[in-house]
Amino acid sequence: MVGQTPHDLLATPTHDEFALQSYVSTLRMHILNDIGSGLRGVYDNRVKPSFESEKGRAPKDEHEVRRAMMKDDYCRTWSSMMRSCQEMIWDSITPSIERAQPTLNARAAKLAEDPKGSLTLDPTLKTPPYVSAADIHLMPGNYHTERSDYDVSQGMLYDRGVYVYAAGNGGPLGDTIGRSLAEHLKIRFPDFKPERILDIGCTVGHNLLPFADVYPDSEIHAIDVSAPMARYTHGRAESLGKAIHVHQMNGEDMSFEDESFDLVMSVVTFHETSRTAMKRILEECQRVLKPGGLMIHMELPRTAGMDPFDAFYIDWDAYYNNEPFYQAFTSTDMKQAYVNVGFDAHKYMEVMTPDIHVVPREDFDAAARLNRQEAKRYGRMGEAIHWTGWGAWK
Amino acid sequence: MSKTTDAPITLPRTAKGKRSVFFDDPAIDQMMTFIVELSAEVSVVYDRLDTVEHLLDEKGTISRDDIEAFRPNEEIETARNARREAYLKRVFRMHQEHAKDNDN
Repeated sequence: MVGQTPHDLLATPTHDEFALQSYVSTLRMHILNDIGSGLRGVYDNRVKPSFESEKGRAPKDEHEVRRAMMKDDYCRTWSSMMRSCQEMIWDSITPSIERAQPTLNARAAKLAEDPKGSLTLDPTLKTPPYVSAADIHLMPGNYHTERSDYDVSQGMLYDRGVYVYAAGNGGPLGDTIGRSLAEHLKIRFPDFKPERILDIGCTVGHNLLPFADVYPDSEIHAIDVSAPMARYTHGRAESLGKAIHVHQMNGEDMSFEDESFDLVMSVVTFHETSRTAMKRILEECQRVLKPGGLMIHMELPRTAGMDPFDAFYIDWDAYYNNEPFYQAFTSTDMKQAYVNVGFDAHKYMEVMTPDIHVVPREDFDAAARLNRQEAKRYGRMGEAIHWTGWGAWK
Repeated sequence: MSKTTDAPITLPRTAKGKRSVFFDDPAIDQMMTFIVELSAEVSVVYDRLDTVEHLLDEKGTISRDDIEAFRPNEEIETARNARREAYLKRVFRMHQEHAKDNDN
């Protein structure tokens, strides 16, 4: 667990809190890889044959797989450990934030005094129901809870939490999806040089900052509905020397002018919004995008057409990790969703990229030129991991 | 929002929403939480002991402040991680007869 890039808004854990965070990371990888890798065998060798002998047919979809799997003690044990471990991630970090909060808040305020970028808050913005309804992925307080005018504590919780969750596999800056995407786009579309970039649902800016490195001449904007996330994104970016213009704003109703961005993107945002919100956000993306601009949303894999066991595995979080909107997203036909808001079906595109922190650079570059990657695992930090995105040119 | 005080805060420890129950008897879910949490406590104590040993190797004496300030370098953390992985494999040993991945 050594290796997270330090910046001014990270709280310092005690010796034992650091040891606990390190253990929780390793525990999660053990549950996921060592125990979790047995789930397929349990299904093929025990659960599926039992289902077949009872019903005279195989499970027809992920829901039947889930109902059968969740009666199996191996899967129950795995699930129970996953749930406890997820709770332990946040719990291992919270005391350090409680101690550091006044200092962190003061630092965030100071970083906003003479910034390279900017921070624009909107105290009148209403927290959308898909944010206030549940504490997503069991993070107590979710993204939006704030306790003072300068509160950044939920941002800190998310920033360190993601690092512990990914056991550092997201890179020192937790930016692996964004960095993979930015480098992929640069190689695949060498003539595309966005002047203005927008990230929707930026949380703490993990996946946006790489764009400042890859497209150094661009003007970069980020929005999030949460004030603590907006403050934290801005302070973190300033502390790391990046100019980012952060706005507390809802992607469903943006105040940006028509046709004002060359690249509009999001990274794992949609699966935490409702289906209605997603349509509105896409309409707004279409509106603010310049002709010739690119919209791209990096997200979870589609479950449509997927093997029912794999779909069950992908969607486990929807049921047991407080991800109530996950499934509405994973079952959406993205191309159709884009066409529905006015994008041309012929200008639809997809991204499938290996992880830039995992594969050798020449393999990464070759995959970007081909936009192709053989992979068995889906977005769960395995060796053959690849990141998927759905986009459209305007 | 008008609160600008720097008074200490208490953050919530549980997520909003009903906690999933996986076993027929919820007491087993409770026991699983106890066991997983206890496994973490043992690992933390082990790291603290390891810190004490490293400090004794390096300085011959230890203080609480030295322990608190100690952070493992990459080499020590790699060794600790290997120890954690072996520990996890021993303690959370599943009965694997059906769990063999057919793809591998």
